[in-house]
Amino acid sequence: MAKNLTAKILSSKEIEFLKEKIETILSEKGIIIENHPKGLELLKKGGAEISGQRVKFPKPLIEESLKQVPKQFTLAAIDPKWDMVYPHPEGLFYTRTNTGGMYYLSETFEYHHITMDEVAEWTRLTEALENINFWSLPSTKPVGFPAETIDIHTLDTVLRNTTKHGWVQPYELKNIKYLIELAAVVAGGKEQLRKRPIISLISCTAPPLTIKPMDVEVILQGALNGVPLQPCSLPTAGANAPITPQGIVLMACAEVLAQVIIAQIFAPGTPCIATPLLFEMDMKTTNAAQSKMSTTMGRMAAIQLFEEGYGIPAHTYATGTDSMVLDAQAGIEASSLAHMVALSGASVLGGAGQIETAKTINPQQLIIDNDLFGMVKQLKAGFEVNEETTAFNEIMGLTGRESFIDMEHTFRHFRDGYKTRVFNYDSRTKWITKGSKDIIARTTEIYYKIKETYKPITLPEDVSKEMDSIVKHADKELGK
Amino acid sequence: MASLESLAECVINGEREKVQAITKSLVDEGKDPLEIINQGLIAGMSVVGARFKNEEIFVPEVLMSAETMQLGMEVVKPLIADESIPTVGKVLLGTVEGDLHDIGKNLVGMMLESVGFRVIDIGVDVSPDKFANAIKEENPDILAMSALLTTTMLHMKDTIDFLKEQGLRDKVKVIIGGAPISQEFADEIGADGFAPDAASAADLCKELIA
Repeated sequence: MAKNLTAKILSSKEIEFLKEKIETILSEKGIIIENHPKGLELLKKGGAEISGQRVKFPKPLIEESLKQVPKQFTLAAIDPKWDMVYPHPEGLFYTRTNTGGMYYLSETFEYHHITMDEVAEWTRLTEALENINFWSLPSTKPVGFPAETIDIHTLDTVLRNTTKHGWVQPYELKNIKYLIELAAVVAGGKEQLRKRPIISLISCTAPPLTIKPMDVEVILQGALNGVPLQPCSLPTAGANAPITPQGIVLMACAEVLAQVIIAQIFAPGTPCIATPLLFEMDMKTTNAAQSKMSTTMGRMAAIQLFEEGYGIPAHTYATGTDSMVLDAQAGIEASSLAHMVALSGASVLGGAGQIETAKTINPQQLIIDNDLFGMVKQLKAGFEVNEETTAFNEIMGLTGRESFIDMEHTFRHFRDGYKTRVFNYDSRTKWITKGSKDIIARTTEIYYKIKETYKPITLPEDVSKEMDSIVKHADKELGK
Repeated sequence: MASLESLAECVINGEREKVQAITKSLVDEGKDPLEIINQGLIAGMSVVGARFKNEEIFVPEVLMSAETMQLGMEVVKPLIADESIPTVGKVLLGTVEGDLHDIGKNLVGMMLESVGFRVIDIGVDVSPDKFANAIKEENPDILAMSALLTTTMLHMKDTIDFLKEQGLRDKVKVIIGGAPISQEFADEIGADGFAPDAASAADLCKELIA
């Protein structure tokens, strides 16, 4: 029974090799922590070796810190039906929408900087898709509010349109507290947010081997407030990281592990999901690409390293494309990524709904990704081989050339597996009668149908008012 | 036997280990240093630039050739006055205030140098004030600003507005680039140009100088 299918790109020896190298980097070379005296002080107290802004983590400290990383935890949702228990109870994965995309390719294929109305629309679509587990924030154009509070306004909009968990990227150091406050209000207070964290936070390194002050503060605030972290590294192979997938894996995983360790030093037991998000510089165009095969292989290695090597849940881009449009390249890249990252054992498949190397989001792509994830879940779950599933008795019971279509066995099993919404299985004649629609046209129709059946979410009035007050206060304090 | 053609070929092939010997050989033969630069070193880089534009070669190969050219320049530079050294123009380069990302900016710098620009890179987290002071000091032809974040890109407008206040806006062409930047944004804030990538930035600068 090949349940929980896996594709292992690393041997056990290679996992140990990478772990040893990572721990050497962290203990002998260290990382730079820029301009965060409090963070440095806490790390020093926690046993790190500090020299100026360089922080080294002695191997015993690494070992001790890793023991503190929780092996089981829940990322809560506003509606508990969307809670995510780690590790996944069925050995499958969770999924999330793209984060940080600045542009929107609308359903009528107009391309522009995403507006707040579109953020609301996008969130409602995310809410309606059964295979999308949590959301993340797009990068909205600041119209009608200060540019300094883009993330706060965007989170406010999203929280009014969702019951799912969210992964939040602060844009400025001073904004972090407001983002946590907004989530706390919806959760029912800071203590409730700690018990049931309806958001997790993004911290990022600035490769190579540097953490900026804002991201140290994210880790600190997250750790102190009981908000889980999904710490990232976003290196670009050949630019600020080694060109080889093996090299970028080493560097990115060292950076992510450093953040996990820092979180445990700040507050032992902080839930972490390791999030190496790899890119590669295209050496003809100098653009960063996210869907090349070497990047996919790197992601597979990074996932396996964390999941199998460290027992830490891992998360990376597992769909998306470098194409500007929804074309064959988009389909091939998204599918390749989803399959391989899922089979590598990832706990979270990220990036749903993105094109143009994660810079743009599109509703049809999100709906297609929803189906893609459903299909890959089926694959990952594998299947059982026994008398029932092989229809052994039915085959043995054949007396002539009976049809299987009306057999009980068929009736028991025809719903097995994931049923896609967006693919065509009509005959050519019927397909023509239905308007000769390609996947984009069909998905667009599905999108309009989903929009017709949206159930609006209404927050309690007191919650809504308090959120308004937080946002207003943030604008006043932070806006220029 | 060394010749201007073999020097150009050396640059085209990125043969760093050979270039200084060939250059020195030409100098010893009495070749005019400016001729060595223009018809040997720069001529080789021009071929590289054209091949890169045609997508026949890759960025690391361009950078290897650029490094080869610089090594050759090291041999001839001491022989000519600073002001005689051919340069296409001078570009002041920096990442805007609040932004620490520099990979794209560094790549633009390398590509600009490879096509003959003199690049003054003033680093990251550069305030409008610092850009203005650098313009007064260096007198560049072009100011090139980089930003990676939707929050920090707004400082590009702040910088342009500050240059206007300081009476410097007309003294310099301003180009911008970075992941969140678009032509639309460049037009909105009054920049003279936008380049979507490092290679385009070099072409854009050449157009603006012409």
